[in-house]
Amino acid sequence: MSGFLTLPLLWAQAGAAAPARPPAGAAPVLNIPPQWIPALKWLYLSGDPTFTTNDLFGGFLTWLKAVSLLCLIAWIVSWLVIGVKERVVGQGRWYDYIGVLALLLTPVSVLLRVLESVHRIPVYTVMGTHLTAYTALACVLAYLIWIEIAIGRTIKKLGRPLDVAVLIGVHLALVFGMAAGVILQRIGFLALIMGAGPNVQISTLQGLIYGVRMSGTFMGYIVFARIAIRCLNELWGVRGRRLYSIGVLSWHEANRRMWAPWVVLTVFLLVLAFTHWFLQPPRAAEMGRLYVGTLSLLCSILLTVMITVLAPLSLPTDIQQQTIYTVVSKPTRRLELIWGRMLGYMALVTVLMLVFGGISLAYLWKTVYTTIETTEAQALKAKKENRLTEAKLLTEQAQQLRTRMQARYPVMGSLAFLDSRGTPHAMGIDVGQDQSMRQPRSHIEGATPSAAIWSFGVVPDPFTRPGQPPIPLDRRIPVSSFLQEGTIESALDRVYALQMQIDADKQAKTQANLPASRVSQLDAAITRNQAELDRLRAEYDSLRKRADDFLAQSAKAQQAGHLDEARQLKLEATKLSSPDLLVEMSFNVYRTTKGKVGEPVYAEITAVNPRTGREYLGDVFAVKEYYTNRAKLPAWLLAGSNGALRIEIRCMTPTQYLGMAESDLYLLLPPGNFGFNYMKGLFGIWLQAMVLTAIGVCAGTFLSWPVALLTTIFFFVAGELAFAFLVDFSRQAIMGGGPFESLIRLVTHDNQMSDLTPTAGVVLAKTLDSLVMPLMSMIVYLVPNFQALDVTNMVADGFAVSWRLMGVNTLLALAYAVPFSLAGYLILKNREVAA
Amino acid sequence: MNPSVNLRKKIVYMTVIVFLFAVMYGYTSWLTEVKKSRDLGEAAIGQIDTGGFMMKLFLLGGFRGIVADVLWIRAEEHKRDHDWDRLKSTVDLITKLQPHFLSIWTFQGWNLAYNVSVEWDAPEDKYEWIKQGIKFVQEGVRKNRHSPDLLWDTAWFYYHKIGFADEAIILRRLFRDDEDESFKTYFDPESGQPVVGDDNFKLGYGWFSRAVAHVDKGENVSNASADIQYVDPAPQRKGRPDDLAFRSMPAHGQTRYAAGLEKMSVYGVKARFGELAKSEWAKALHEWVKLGEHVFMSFNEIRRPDNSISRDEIRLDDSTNPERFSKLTENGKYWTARWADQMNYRYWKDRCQAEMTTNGVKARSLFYEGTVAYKTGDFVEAAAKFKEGLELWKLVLSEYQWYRDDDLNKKDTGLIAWRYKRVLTQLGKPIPDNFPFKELLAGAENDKTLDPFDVLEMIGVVGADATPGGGGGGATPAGPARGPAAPK
Repeated sequence: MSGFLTLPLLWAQAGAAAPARPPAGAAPVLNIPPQWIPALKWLYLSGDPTFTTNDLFGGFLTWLKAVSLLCLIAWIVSWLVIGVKERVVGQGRWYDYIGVLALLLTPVSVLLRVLESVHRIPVYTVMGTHLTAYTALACVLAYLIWIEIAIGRTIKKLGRPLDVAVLIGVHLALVFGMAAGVILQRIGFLALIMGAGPNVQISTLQGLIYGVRMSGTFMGYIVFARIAIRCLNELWGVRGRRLYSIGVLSWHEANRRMWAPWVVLTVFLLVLAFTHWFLQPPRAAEMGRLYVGTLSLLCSILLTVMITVLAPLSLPTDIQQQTIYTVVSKPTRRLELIWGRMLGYMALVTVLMLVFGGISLAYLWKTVYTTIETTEAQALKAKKENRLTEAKLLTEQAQQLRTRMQARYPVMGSLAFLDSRGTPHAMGIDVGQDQSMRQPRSHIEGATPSAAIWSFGVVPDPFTRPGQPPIPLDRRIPVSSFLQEGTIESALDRVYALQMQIDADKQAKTQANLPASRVSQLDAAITRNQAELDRLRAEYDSLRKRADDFLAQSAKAQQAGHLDEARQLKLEATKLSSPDLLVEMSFNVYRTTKGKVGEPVYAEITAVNPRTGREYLGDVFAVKEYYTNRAKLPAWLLAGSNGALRIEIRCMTPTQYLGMAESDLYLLLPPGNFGFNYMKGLFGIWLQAMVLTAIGVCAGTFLSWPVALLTTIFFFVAGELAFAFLVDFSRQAIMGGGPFESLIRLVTHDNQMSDLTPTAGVVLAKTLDSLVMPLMSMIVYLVPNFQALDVTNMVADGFAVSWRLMGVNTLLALAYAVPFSLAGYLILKNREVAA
Repeated sequence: MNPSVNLRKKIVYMTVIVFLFAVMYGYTSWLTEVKKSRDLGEAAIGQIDTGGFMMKLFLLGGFRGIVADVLWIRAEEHKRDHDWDRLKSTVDLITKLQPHFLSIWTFQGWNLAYNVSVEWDAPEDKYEWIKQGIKFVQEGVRKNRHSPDLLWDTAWFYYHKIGFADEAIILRRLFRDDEDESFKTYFDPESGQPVVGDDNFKLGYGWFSRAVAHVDKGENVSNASADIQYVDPAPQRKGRPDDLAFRSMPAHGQTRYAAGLEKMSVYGVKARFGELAKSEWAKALHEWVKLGEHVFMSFNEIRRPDNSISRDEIRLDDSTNPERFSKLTENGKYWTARWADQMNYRYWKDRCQAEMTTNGVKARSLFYEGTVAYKTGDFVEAAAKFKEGLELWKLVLSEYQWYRDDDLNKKDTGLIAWRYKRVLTQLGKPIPDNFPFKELLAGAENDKTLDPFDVLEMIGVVGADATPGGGGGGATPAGPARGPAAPK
């Protein structure tokens, strides 16, 4: 899965609440000149923290918004801390009492709200508004006043001109956001994006509140710009040689102080030596998958644990042992201290990764390939001894094993269904299987017009809502990868392409009011293309004739008993054709009756080229559940397709059902090298290590080593094991309430579903939950999604890791690593290391 | 710091270390002795898995429980996602952590043999998973030598999951063809020697007998160390003193085996009769009589004439011997009759006695040959075989009333009578006014369900070389070898 798909989920937090569509189609209801609309869209896109576009830019924008918000929070908190530390505020002046009031009001207003919600007190209304709304408003106002005064006074006293400029900028951004909110409300844009009905009025107050929400992002941009300027300044001064020196230092330190690489290597070899103790593949067919998965997991665990221990220890130990003096007294930049360390550790990780990769591949080669050979030998023996069922099973297992030890490039189509009456649907029949599984399947009924259709090319999304314009999906087949240059099919493809061009030009000529110059231009093109077409046809015919001649000669040679010559000639004929298209399928069987014992369920595959109308009526084949069924389609089917193809699957056995998901059928490009793919899989682990290094080094800049170590471990465990839980947590979608309410349920053995009796304890717990949950939800903004970076499952399943996915994952890793390392720099910069 | 203070500190530390070490050594030695005397050591519970032991000791420490919990959750997730191989590996890992937690073996063994195998469509794949389940629970047996439950589970999977599945006829063939001898080995209850069996019912018989022998030897969890109070004792569900069903299973296994010999119960394998069939039925009888002579205690206690209170000794076999039965107390008669009915004891004993006779085996062989002829359209042969068989069978059953009157026998014999009538009709011969078992025709007309464990009934006559099921693999291109004509 693309890492960027998770970004909006991660940071925007409100996938469900966000408006599903940009307000493009709704322009007519707005009371403004149309030229303003793009500006409005940009305003909305850049200001709303929950809205983004579904592409790379959208991912970047979401990242920017999230980082900016974090910058804003960090900026406020840091100035408040400085203010208190420097005794600018918190000295018992009148405004400090406002701060105390805010602190007191916070639990009171939350408690009131909880008491209302559990019906312990009636809902009081004053002048049409709830009492709790007043207390909350008073609380927020008190906070704002105190923060405003505290930051203003602190910056006035201690800030530099640039800080004053930021303060002014932040206020301007606040005003701008609020104004933008009101304007959006006035022109009706807000009603549109909030999805309100035609008769629902959005009030000015709502516009103002929305504006405040947007201004949070804008204020964040201002602070982000301030920090970016500071970091760019630092970046300008970074020198490669100093980075290199610190990198080398970290490398030596890791080797000397902990023997870390050697320890890790020894553990790796030890575990490898005893793999058979805890890893016994249940079936030969799955051995490769299991071993590849486990070896990558082992690499991942060892390297990440090593980094988790090494990275956060280094800086605190230097500071504690005062060796940091030697470094900081030299002209070394603080950013170089951070990045240099990361460089050193990552060099170590790289070397270890290469060593692990090499050893793993050798191990896989020895174990898995031996198993393949043994299984094939067993199959042969069983066949000789007439144990045909077993022979079949063993052959299939060996085949499956070989398939997994490849780097397959699948070309995916878009799946839609026909029901038993031939009516199209996006989904097939639900036979009651658990839909929460990773790949829930839809079913087609046997011996009816029901079919599953995979469409390739630019095709409409089958899940487009009725009445909406179809969303196009790009599922084009890379025709040139399948049709080899110089073959019959490739020539045929060019013939079709040219023929279509000529037809298009002829069509264009029939349009009315065409200028004479254009007509003559088209005429010239038609004549030129016609000549070229004739030449191509001749070439195509000659290729076919050559192939036919080779085949005829081969047949003659065969008759004459010259078998070698016949084989050679046949090979020559084969060289003139592109290889068949390989289709791989894995379907589920759902039986309504047992049928005849031992008889499989049959399916039929047909394919059609929608542009040329050429059809291939394929075979009927027995579906082998949980194995990969293979079919071959003739290459000529792709000629003239321009990447479009339709493959239909029907179930032939009456009363039985075939289940399928979109990824259950794909065309296969020639496979890549498994070893290389394995290393690409390990690159995902390398990225994980990079993010962890950034976190570890960052934690080491301001925490003592035990705390830094624990912090890094927390990030690792939370990102690796509990990420899905944390996302649910941040959406407050976990049953049973927050931590305090859950504790009560745990102790009293109450289930998660029922409402708790609102006793004093429960009210207190809910109040505490309401206070801590918003703060804890913020953690999700910081925890990296380590699972998204891990692509080893793909490698274990025998699929190639694409360069695009690697690129996207690299960006995702950088999106975490860079902010963490810069945060580390900023902290180190402001810290008295010599203290 | 003063060097003498430093030295003193070192001496104190060293003394404390030596003292603690000495105490720990003494304590550990004492503990080992106690464990040994009460048969509580790791080795006493079952085979030690060095890998698992090391893993528990060094890698996980106190986190073992948490890791096991996580693995259980993972296993269920893999099951939900139909990722069967990862499920198996995860389950294997759990057993390394909790090898003496019996539920994991029973639960996950069942999971593999029943729940996973049923998800696969092809019988050969089903068989693979059943085998995985059986081997898994056998591993549990090795690790928990006091548990009769796991022995019984192993036997049940051989007996029931292979022998009573919808695809039993094919699964039994796959079992027969399986080259894995260790998987087909059982201990012969009589000789105690390992034997390689070709039939899953035989394996079931062997393992059931082993479980019963285990209980008879007093080898079970609670008996192993009666004076020890376990914090969380492993429950023993099978082989309690009053467990009739448990004790009847060896006899059932042997009976199924003998019955399976006399029909095509294994795909492509012809039925076998003669001395082999006779001796196997005799063994089955022996097993039933063994059950019949086992002393069960009545549930209630009775006040005797001498005013003492005691339970009655019950032997099921007394139900088949009027003389012995008449001598029983009223309470003894009640429990003997009740439990004999519950186990259908008289039927089974009667059946074994009838089937083991020369005429019985001959009649079965004639029925089989007649059915083969009937299925292949040789009605003359079929009529002759059926006629002779039915007459012989009548003769045999005249001595075995319980078997004759049983519904199962009426159904089987009625089907033969009905087929006899059918072949006569086909041949255009008149139906005799009276022929053996003609009275069962009406029942046979109404009940046309076939024996699902007989290849002749489910599929028809197949040769030894036949392969069950259809083809497999992928489709091959049937299209033209070269491209079509270019568009005009």
